[in-house]
Amino acid sequence: MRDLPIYLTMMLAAIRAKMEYRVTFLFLFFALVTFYLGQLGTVLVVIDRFGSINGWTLGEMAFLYGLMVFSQSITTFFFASLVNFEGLIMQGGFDRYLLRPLDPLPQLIASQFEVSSIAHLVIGVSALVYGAAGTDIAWSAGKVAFFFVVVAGAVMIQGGVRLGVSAICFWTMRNRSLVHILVFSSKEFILYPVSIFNYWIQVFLTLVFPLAFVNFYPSHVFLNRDASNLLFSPLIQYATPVAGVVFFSLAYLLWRAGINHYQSTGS
Amino acid sequence: MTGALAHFGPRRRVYPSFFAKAFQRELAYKFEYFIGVFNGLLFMFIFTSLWEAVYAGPTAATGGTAFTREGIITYAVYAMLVRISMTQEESGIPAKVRSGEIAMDMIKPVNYMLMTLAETGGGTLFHWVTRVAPIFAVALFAFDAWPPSDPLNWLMLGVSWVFGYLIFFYLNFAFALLAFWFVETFSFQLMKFGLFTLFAGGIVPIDFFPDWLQPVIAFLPFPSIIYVPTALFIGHIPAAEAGSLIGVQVAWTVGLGLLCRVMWGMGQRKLIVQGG
Amino acid sequence: MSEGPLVVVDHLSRHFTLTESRPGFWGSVTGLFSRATSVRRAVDDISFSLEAGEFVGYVGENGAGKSTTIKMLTGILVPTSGTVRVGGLVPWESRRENSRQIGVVFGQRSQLWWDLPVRESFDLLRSIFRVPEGRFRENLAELDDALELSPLLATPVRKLSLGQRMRCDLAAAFLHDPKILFLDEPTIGLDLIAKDHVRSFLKRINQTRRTTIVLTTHDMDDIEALCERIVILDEGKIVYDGATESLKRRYVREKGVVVEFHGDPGVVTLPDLPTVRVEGEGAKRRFSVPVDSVGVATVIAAVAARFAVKDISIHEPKVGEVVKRIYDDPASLTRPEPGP
Repeated sequence: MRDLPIYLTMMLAAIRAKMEYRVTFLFLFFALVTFYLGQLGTVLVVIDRFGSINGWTLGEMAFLYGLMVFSQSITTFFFASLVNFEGLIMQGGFDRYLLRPLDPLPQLIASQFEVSSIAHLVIGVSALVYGAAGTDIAWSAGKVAFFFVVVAGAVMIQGGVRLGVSAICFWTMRNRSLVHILVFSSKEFILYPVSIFNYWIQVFLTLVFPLAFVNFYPSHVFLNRDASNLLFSPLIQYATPVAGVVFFSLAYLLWRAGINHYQSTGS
Repeated sequence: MTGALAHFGPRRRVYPSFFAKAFQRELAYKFEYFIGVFNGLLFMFIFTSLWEAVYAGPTAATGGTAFTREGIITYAVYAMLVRISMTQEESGIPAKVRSGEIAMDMIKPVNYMLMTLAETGGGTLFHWVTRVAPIFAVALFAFDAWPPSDPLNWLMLGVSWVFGYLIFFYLNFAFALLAFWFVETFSFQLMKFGLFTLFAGGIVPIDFFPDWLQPVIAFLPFPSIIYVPTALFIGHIPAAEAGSLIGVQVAWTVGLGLLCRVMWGMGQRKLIVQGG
Repeated sequence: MSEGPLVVVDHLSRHFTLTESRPGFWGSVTGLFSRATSVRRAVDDISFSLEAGEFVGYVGENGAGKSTTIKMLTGILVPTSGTVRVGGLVPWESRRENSRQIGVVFGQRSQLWWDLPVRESFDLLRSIFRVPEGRFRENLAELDDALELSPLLATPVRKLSLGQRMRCDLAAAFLHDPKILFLDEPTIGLDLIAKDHVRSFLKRINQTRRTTIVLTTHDMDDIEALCERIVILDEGKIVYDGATESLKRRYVREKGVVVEFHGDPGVVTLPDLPTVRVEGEGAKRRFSVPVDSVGVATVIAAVAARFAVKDISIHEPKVGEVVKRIYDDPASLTRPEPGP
């Protein structure tokens, strides 16, 4: 951790580098907002017709979506460089991180700043505010504190996905499809309440690929929804932080193994 | 006259070879392949689950549309198949413009747009054989969505798919050509993708949109890409309306094709005048 | 401080398993399910050592194993067998510590921050390698003097020309006072002036700082200008390791003596030296001298004794020609040397 100031310096440099392109920056921001409104639009159209989705009203759906996008904005802020990790491996850029007296992972985290994290932040906060207003959430100090713990856990889960998917690159060189499906497509699952899926998929999204912890389970706490029908135990609505720590640790182990493999094959 | 014809002869054999090359390149990565198939099934699963849940809700009914529960599940499956069957590499042209490599394509004695179409078509045919076919096979059993047996539906699908694909291709091509005027085209492509997601009918059929919005959407090229082929195929839109819908598709194809031509010409001139 | 060589490479090998894709359409279809594999010996049992201050050319054709060796020396890659010590460290076991004592420059890939001014990249590297502020300033002043960096420092890296960028990349590699510098094609794509600039800098820094420099390159002029020692790799094996000069001496069977006469001397023969061939006509003739049997000086004396000579120049083959001959026929190196 004594290297922390170095990483902070690197991160600031990455932000300054992006600011070199101010116009592109603004443009991309609006494009991202359009893109996410398109995504959200499909949900809104359905709710507009049917009133609710699996018992989740418009406000509740907005909160669900907001929690996902908000935690995603923080994930993107830290793990942006892992989205195109394939390119870094194939063009040999990763070697440069190994040629420095620092751990490669924090270097990667500090190496890139992604504009989309700001777009996510704006959309996420808007959706959360709209959702919270539309559902009369009674905010207590405890709930606010829990909110931040949940976001931390959700970031660890989503960051863990990116880390684990990147680690695969050390064996396969390419992981673009995997990034596509596990980092991007998979979010489609938690755009909706996980309860719309059959039992085994719910188990999968809880125990194997725990995206359900990102927004579905903790939303029950904030929205005071009945948790008695949740998988395994009603307590699961509080379990996001635990799931985050466990999942990220596993992903990190895979990452370590991947680096060892990379150094032993040099592929 | 003879000169022009002689020039045309060897040219014609050029495009199939672009086609075959793209086909083989795609096959080179097996891991990617299995993931790709899985991805398609995943989306199908998510959207059919969504519709199951919505149609089982208390307000049930059909949301005021002509879609029954079976109808909407069938639609979701085939709309996803149509969506998967259209593929295009979008970052190639902008990257070439930035690096200046595009000049090499301009001096090749072939029509660049047709060359790209042939290459893209190769990639797409690859997807037909290796992705669409297996996903279709699995979907038949997993989602209980049998295709219609009337050859007319297949014919309508064939015709409207081709035009839908051309619209899809020209639209992407036009957006990629923006690279001649803008340093960064990713933003445009992202916006286009957002609109495509919402209005092409790949996820939610146009019937579900608010009544005031539907006529507006009808004026966009997006529904022609997925909604029209899918709805004609599953019989959601009666064959009697096929003619006019395909007519709209043809109009979009011609319009966007011309737009691409003009943009390509302007881009070429800009490159010559300003040297990139 | 341990005495002895700075770098010791001992019976180092690195094998790769390759998957072979079958040709043609059905080849790629069946390749989806199974692939044949084969083993390639990228580096095959090589040994050498480097003393502090040496300037070594590490050459070989593409795929000869140069970059694989460098990867192992820098700690990025673990070998299949054998050992390496760099300044007493095993690079892949102490990768981070090792990185402090080495500098690496890739001609193709910059280590600078693409969008930031050069100066900011240097500052970042200063914190990354924890270079003390005072030392950093001294270094920067010295590097600025040698590479004329001042006018470039405020420019974002992406706006630099290739030659300018290489100067900055070289400076960046020296900021943390590495004991050994690995250079991969540092002059690739540079114009003659920029090449010269880079070469004279490397020569200077090698002499003033006694930095050991390992240069991998295809440009034999780089080697000729800079490296006292050359290691030639072919299919993973070292086929030559020794002084650049003695490689030439050993390989050069013939030297050319070009003589310009005052006017056309007509038929030129050297009756005492029947092994010397004479080529050309008019006022300028070339004498091919087989160095095993005849001294160049003898030839010059013999010519000068019989004709009116205006100018004489001696042509020695360049290292590049010699190395090319070795690539073409590696076995020639293992053949016994001809007797004196």
